Amino acid sequence: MEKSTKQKKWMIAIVGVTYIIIVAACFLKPAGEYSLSERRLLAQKPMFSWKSMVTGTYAAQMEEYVTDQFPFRDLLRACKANFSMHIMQKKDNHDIYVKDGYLCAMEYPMDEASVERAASIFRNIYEKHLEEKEVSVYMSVIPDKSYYLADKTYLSMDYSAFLEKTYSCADFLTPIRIEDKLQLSDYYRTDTHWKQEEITETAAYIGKEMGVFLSGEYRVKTLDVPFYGVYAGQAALMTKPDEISYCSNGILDECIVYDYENNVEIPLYDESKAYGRDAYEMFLGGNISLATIENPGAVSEKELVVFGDSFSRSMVPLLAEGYRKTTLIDIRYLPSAYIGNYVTFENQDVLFLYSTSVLNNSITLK
Amino acid sequence: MVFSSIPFLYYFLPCVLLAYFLMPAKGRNGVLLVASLAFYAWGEPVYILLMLFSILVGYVSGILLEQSMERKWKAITPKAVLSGSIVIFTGLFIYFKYTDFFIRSFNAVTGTEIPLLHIVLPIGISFYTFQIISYLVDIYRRETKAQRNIISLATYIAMFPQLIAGPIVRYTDISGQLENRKSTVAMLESGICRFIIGLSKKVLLANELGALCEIFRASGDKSVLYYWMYAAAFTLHIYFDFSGYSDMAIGLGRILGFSFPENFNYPYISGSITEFWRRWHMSLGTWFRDYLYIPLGGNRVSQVKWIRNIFIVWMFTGLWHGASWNFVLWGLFFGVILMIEKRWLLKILDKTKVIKHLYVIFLLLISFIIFNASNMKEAWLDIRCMFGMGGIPVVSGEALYYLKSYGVTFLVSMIGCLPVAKKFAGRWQILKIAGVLLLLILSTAYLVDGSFNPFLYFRF
Repeated sequence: MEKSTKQKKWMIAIVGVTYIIIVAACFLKPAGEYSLSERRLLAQKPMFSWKSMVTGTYAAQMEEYVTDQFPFRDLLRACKANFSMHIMQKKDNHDIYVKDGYLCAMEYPMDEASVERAASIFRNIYEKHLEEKEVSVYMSVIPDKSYYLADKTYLSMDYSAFLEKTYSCADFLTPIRIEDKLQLSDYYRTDTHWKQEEITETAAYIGKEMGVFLSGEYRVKTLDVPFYGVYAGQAALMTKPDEISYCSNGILDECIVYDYENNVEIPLYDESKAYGRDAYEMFLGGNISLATIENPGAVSEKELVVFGDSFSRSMVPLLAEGYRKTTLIDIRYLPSAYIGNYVTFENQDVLFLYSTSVLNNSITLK
Repeated sequence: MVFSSIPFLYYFLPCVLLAYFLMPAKGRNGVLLVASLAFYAWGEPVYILLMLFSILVGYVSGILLEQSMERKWKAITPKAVLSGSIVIFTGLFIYFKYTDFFIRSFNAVTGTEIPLLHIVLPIGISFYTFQIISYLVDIYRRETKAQRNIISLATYIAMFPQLIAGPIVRYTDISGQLENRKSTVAMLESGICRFIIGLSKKVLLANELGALCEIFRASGDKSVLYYWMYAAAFTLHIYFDFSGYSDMAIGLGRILGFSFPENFNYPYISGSITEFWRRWHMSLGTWFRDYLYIPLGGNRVSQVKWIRNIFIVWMFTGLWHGASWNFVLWGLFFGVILMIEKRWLLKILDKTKVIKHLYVIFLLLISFIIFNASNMKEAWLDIRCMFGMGGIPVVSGEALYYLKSYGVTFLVSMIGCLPVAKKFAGRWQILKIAGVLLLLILSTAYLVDGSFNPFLYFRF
């Protein structure tokens, strides 16, 4: 047999067998429901109908389904991410970059209209529920990790301008500026959030600005679970997991937490959730719209209402130590128009605690 | 359905190949036809009727034409049959592709507000209409016989490998293969390689460069540098996208036992625009030459008529690519340059070594800026901004970031425009096998990751 023909047969055999294996895996692999790494539901097989076929929706949904359910999906996504960033030298993958061991999303550019929209929602809440009441109203903006990593290598918004814009748009709220109280190591390497055990001093500072003393003494418990944050899955890069810890003390141990969304009492820290889809959900029940923390050991009778995003879930337990009752409202899930049905504002401290990434994408606020 | 998608690669294609190779040779056209209709119906089930109508009219017209040429009926002349069928096909083509364009233009000129019809363009109509017309004209010219087997003709017209993005395969190119073809080891091997290389050109390079173009369009931090990057990215993007699709079509054809004509021959190494059009979308260029330019008289006419012929051909070349005035301008831009080159410039360019290439690249960058603009206003703004007349800075932070981020992609793409990789791959068979396998896996990984994967040919 001619040498070149033999080589050609080898080519057909090797590529052909690989192709057949992949095709077989596509047909045989059972459909999954959820992608842990991407933290999202996977597309399921669409229902066939002539209408969906004629309109093209069946074809589109089927494409989404077979792409989502492709065998070795996580491995292939990791291949793509590593090839893209290490061979093709792309600076980011899906707008997530790695710097100093931290995975970070590019928050760029600054969306002034989004900031104005968020401020307008806050203003509506203020004018409707707070303006003529005996309440002290504060606001803290939590910079995302890029603030501490920002240099000219990656795209990042002008954080000084962003913070000035936010505080000036919400000038009816008393600012408690915390950007100088935080540093990069206060954040998880693989996740967007801050570490509760690293923000106790920031919590004490916020408490002090609101006239409340926090002991600052906690037992820190580190859970025996690898924590792959949201960026780890989105970037699909091979990264070491973070550790996840929480802070408690005698006062916090006695706190009673109530989840109004599900009408059930929940623990302040739910360790079982740390072993679930998103370990960060262990703080205050995860993504729930309305929760209260009753603190029987509180020295004062003051109450606190926090309007916040997911960052506040690890901050609020620390602040709760100084208040008899703390209410956490997440207006991403509970439309602000309905707040009056659940909370009566009278003689409270009110804190708006939002991260830059939520304020820059305020379409999520209702 | 597009080739660069998981449903095509890992569901449709293996089923078709299995059925095709299990079927005895006699039934293979049937398998190919059913597969092609299913392929077409997957994305556009409504227009399958238009496709079947076109096949039927093409089939009947071909036979009628041949019989009229044999003088079976004195009342019907071959010219009348040909003219009638061309009117039907161009009529359909113009209705689906240009009606809204005409209404929009009429409204703009007269100030009327005639509502648009919002007709959805049937995918591939620009390709299969031209194929049917070439089939009928070739019968008229006695270059081929009418196909009596409707399955064979339908297979030629609807054949999925070249249905949606070319190359424009003429009936005379594959009429013999429609009746009798063999899949040899050499064809199978080269078909597999060609298909995977085309897939990776589309997925790994074209899509990445296309994503950069999208980022540029959405940016609020534009600069002169960014405009030039965009022009370069789009120029490379359209080459790798289009030539990638052609490679996949040619590769699939070889796997199935067909030899489709080449469509691209390293166009960016050209030393003149004249040479560029001999290397770029060759099946379209030769189609317009043989079925429009030469029938108009070509260059064997007076100078005035020659200029007229050039303008007509290049206006239609532009319009073929899209129903918008910027495509007309794009075509005429090349028409003017080709005339200048033929009269004066080619002789001067031939004497240079580097300048001729810089000249070609410069003109292509400008031309593709016009091509990719959504309207004439945007094209003009883009060109002004490229030359610093848009009131924007020379450099912006975003431009620098993406220049660094896409630097290797640009470099690899530029090398991919040269014939060096082809020469290299031919020498090392083991590396070739590993390379092809790696490209298949990487392309799959990019598709699974849900990366940017546009389909340019909806407007063609």
